[in-house]
Amino acid sequence: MQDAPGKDDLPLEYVDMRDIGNGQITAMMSALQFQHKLFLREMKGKLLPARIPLDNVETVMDFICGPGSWCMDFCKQHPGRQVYGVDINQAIIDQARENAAHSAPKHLEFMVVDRRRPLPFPDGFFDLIHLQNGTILFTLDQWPEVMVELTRLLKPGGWLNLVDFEMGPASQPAVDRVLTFLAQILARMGRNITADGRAPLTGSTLGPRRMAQQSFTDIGYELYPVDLGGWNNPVGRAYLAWSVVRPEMIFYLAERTGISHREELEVLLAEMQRELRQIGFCGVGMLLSSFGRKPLAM
Amino acid sequence: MNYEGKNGPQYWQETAASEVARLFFGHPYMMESLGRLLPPAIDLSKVEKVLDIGCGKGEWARRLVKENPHIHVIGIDTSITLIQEASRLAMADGLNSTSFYQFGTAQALSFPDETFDVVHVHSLASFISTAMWSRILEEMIRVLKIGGWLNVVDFELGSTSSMAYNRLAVFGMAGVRALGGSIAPASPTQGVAARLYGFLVDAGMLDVTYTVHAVDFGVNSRPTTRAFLDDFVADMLGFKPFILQLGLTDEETFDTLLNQAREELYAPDSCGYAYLISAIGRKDA
Repeated sequence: MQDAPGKDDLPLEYVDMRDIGNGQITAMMSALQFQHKLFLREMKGKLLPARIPLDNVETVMDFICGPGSWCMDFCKQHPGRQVYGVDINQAIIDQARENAAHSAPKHLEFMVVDRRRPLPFPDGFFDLIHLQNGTILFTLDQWPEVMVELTRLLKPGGWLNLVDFEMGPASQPAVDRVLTFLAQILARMGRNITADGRAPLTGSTLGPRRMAQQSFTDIGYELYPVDLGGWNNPVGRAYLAWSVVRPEMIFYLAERTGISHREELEVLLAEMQRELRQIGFCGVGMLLSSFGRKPLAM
Repeated sequence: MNYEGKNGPQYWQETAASEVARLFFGHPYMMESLGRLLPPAIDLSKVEKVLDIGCGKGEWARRLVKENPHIHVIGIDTSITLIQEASRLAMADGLNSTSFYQFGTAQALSFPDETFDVVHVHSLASFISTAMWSRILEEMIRVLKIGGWLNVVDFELGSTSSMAYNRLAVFGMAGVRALGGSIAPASPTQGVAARLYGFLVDAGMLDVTYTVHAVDFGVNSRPTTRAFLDDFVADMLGFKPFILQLGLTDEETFDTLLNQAREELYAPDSCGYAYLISAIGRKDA
């Protein structure tokens, strides 16, 4: 696979879907900054659900922080808290540090961690852990372990907030076909919860249950529909084309999983681009934020 | 509802499935999820006559008239049972300005051209075939006054935390496809709700826009959710004979899945959602 040297020996379950293709990381990080703005628009400018109180929150982790958009905004809105932006990818953290250099928040620190080892923080270190786009990053089988680790890192009574986007229905046939390929790729990668593997649903709805399995309290969730189409919404269309079905990611993973090959997909993605330029395009998705508290006594 | 001995696709498309869908969509919970009865772009103070296609038991129509006593609503549906119930309920509420009629199909509306200020239709898409769509749109636009609004609302399942429900949903989707109700055979979803906006654009309507709303399936969100889930499970039971007839699964598997889905959907950690898409456009001169 010439586009991603050295990544083929990484088992599929550890492939970082944000880091695929040579020189793609900068483009993907721009897409994630863009995504942050889109999500904030749909969440009416709120970084966290209103039910998470911040009065006693001192130490915060933005796990899988990507380009650092969320943690930088959090530092601005809630100065004085110690915030750690943590990611599993060195190139991404380099990018996040560069992004933060301009605003230089005082209490923000970026760190790279090895996803296959416990995170380098003591038990009960955080009052709040925010994890965005985490559902797609870990396989369904890896999630129980992830939850055990996140629970360990939280103080008793500390809050966990899981935020994920799932694609919903769209109006055009090529978009439908691309999404079906994506669904099949996700299924091969152990990240699809549908019975027939046709819809690209990664399991954001399992957040509350995952917290219940760790005996969390005050479990709840909020839904924010995301509009990706309509004549007056170029931001939504761009998000679909750049992030949800990023071409280099689809090419690489489709070949790696044997679902399809580049030539077929190039034709299909070109057709999808044509559809996205139509006034009548409609597409929607759902942003789900599920939250809960580590019990005071385990 | 008793569907015994009435398992033909034709019957399902015209009667049973439609009744199930009407009840489902007419649920107050759906209206709660939409937040309002009609999009804010429609100035209700200037609206006199409204046509509600697929009115079911008339929940939507009764609410519109209660909130706007100057509006006259006509509701039509393919189900005589539901129309009788709608008339009875409207009378019980003392609503004189609501009348309900039954017609065979929305393909040929028996109203003169340019009769209504607003034509409202929800859930029509799920059980009509692709081929019928353009004809129905043409009819709805025909009976609208110039400048009048067409509002089309439909539903699409999103995701749930119940793995058993997710399996049942695949059977349900196959059933809808067998009825010719899916407009997009290759789509991972039913694909109709997302196409409504494009239909209105293609029909040459003015000021076409849409909004998307979340329908929350989780048990710890709103008090009406439980009633909604009850209906949801009842709907699946209503579909059972048809799903079995199509050979999608056997009775034992279906029953086991339904019991499991019921347990999972009512669990305190249950989480799920669907989409409602509401598209509007104005009739061009």
